Amino acid sequence: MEDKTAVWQGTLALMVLQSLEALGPLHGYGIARRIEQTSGDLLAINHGTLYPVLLKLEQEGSVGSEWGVSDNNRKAKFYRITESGRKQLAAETREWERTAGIMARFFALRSEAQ
Amino acid sequence: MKPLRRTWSRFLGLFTGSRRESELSDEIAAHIEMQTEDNRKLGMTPAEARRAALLRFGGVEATKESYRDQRGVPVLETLAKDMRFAFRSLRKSPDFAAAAILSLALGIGAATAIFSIADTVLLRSLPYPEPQRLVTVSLGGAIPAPAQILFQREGRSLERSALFTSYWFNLPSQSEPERIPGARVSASLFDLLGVKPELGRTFTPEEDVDGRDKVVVIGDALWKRRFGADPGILGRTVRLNDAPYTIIGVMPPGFRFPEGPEHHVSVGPFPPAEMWRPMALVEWEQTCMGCYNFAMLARLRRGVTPQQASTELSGILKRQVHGEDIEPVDVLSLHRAVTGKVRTPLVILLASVGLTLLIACVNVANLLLARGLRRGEEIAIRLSLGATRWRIVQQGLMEAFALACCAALLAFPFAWAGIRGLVALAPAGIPRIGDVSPDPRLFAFALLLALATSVVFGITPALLLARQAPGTAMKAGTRVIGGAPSRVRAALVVAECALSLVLLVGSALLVRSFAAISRVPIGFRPEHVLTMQLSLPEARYDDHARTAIIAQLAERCGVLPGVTGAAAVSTLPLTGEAEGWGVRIEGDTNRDHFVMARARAVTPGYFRTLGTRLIAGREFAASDNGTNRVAVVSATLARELWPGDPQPLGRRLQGRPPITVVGIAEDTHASGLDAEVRPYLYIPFSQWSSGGEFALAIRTAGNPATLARAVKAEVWKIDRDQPVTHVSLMQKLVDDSVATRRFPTVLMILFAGFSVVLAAIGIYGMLSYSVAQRTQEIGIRMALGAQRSAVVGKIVAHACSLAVVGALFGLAAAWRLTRLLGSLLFGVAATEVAIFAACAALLVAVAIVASVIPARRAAKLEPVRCLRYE
Repeated sequence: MEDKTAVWQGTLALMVLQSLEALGPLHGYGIARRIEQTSGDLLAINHGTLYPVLLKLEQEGSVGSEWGVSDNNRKAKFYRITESGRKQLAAETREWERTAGIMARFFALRSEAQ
Repeated sequence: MKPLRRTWSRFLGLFTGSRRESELSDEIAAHIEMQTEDNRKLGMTPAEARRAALLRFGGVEATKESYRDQRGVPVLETLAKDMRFAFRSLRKSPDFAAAAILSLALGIGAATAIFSIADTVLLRSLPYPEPQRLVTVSLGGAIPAPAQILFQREGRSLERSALFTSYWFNLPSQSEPERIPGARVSASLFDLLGVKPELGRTFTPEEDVDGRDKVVVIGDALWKRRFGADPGILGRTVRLNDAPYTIIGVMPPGFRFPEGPEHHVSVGPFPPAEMWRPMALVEWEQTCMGCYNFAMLARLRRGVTPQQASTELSGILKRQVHGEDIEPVDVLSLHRAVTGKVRTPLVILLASVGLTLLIACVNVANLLLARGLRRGEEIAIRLSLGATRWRIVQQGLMEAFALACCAALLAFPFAWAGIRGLVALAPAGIPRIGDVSPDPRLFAFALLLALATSVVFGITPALLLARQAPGTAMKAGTRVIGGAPSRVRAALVVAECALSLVLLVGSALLVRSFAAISRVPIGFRPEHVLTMQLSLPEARYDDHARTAIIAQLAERCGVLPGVTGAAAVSTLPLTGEAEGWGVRIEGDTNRDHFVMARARAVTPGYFRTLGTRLIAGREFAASDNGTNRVAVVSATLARELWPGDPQPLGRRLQGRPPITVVGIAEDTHASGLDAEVRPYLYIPFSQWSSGGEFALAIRTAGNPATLARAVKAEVWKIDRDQPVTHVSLMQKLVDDSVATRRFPTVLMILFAGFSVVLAAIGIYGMLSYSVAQRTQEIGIRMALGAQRSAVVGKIVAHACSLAVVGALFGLAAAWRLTRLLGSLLFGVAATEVAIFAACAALLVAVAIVASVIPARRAAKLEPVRCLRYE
């Protein structure tokens, strides 16, 4: 996990779902921008890696897609979160928060020892 | 749930590939343009903006690739791709594909067909409970009734036993009277077999008594055909052989005991029984120890072998005749008895078809190996372009699979047509041949064999080539593979030659036997002779009336338009064994001085009609009746009776009154062309008193078949209820008598021919490969002054050496194997040197012919071009 480029797929999928949940339907570029902005440009991904993730989510039925027109009148494919995607997001968010909580306690222990 | 859903949509992705592909391209293009636009808004130049966008996106192709991997099922897609590639590359070398697929398909098809027949006829067990305990018991083929009664009473090894004998029923009808094949059987026979009637009952022991025996059981097919499957048939009375019989039962479909000629007492073709009446032995039959008129069926006690039963019964018989020497009693399993005669030919055919399949596999192995090796360069290029070794092997596998699949697809219709053809070609009297259908087990086995062959030999070269460093093969071009694989190929070609020589020798021996049989002087001229059989029931005609009718019929048929001669005979040649007579010279009182002859009653004109030459003397005349007893003897009988007298006309045989010899006829092969000549005695019908069976023979000027109706009409003018059966051309009887030989002979020729062609393909493939491989070497030789003839010679010599080595192995194998042909051989030794030599020579000649094309190709090479050849 060197510097800010590498993000593993599962996390990326979660970010994609969260972005769609928060902002409604988005095209691939929009999702990529949103992830960069939300992370305060700390997290830079190769935009290309997004597409296999989107495909996987679509195959799992967590997102749906249709062709539409972007803000500047360009044809683009828009992704939206589905009901099943929302459930997945909720479950994974809980899971992630628990993991984060546990990790936080560990780090707290370490700082006590210091 | 999710993984499942994902799998499904991936599977769907297999089929929507091209649309998704263009959508993805559009989507990525849009993405990059949007970013480019944003970048320009940030103040970059257009070129910078686009470059930055592309950088941000990462590898476009890499993205597409990983997207694709997720979209479908990569393994399946690769598989499909490989399959398509395999078919494409097979299409690109149609010669190879056709040779390999055809030889496999023919091999598999033929093996399936023959095995299906052998399985149905030989291996499948009889349709009775515990069939292995059923045996026939005989004293040399038949048995007299008292012997059965004795064995039944004293034999501990038999659980129960029954007598049976074939029997014809004349069944009158509105349209055409029918003659139904049937049997007289002991009441216990059905229980012994373990078969229950479909309708009604079988015989009670009370009905198995002379005088109370006017009941019949009929077969299912007859019930449906003649009685419209009438469920109320039981109790109905029918007239059979001019006596009333009550129908008491109908047997289930498929019951046909006895079937085939093999375990009937009557010799000659006898169709499966359709009607049964009680045995009801008459008094003289119960006591006549010399009347070998019956067959005996028995069920052995559990655990008793036929051998043990034979020993026990022989002992009983020996005590009965006060210790005189006797032949051991024959106890033969019913299955063996049913399949007896066809066993040898079928086993031979099985063996030959097995060999043929083996040769086909060897051939395909050879072709695949050659092809694999030729693709060394291609594989090297693919390896260096980054193909994994596993992918290369996988592709080889796919090609093998494609080959085997094509072969299987073709093989199935081959097998089906083969079975139909074989059943049609098969001689009469092969039991259960009508039930044959393609056997899926063998088909699967043959397919597996083909698959295994293709896989092993398809992958071996791929493995060999995949193992080497890509550079080596590319540097060395096509010449890298020498040594081991080409020795394997030579061995395969040698094996092919050896195996096909075995088949070649076998078929040559059979052909030679067949030719020998055809040259046998048959003793009559079968062309233009129409024959048919009749049976005058004793209940309706006494001896006198019968003689009169027979004479009248022969006479009336003789004057039909187009007829040049007509006669009646008690037993027509080739339709069964004539009655045996012990013939004694008049005045010879020694009881042991007799010749066992076969006797035939004939009407005047018989010899002229059949075309049997009279060596001396005359035919019978109408004046040879009652008091004036005369006979014609066959040449063999004359020789055996009067060895010193070449023309014993006027000599007399013992009889009351004595019989004068008035003519000597040439010998006839009346019990089969391959049977030994028997002595024959001919007497006029007027002096004959054995039964009402006889045949008509009518010689015509034109096509005899057109006369059948007219002759039948003549018969029915005399007796409306008289069935006329076995209407046949005499020539057909002759052909049928050798059919049991023609069948395996024709098939074996086919197999041998096929395998020789395969061997030739093998040799051709091997040589053209080696010529292609050695193009440069040949060029150098020619540049150095080698003559074209020397080049050709070398290649032909190569072919010869392969064929000769193969032939030597083949000869050795054939030497041991041909004796298995046994009874199929006639007039030729199993190890006839001339035939062995001729076959070996033929094989070498074929090898030379096969080598001509590659040799000429080599001879036409231009030295300069060869040296440049890469």
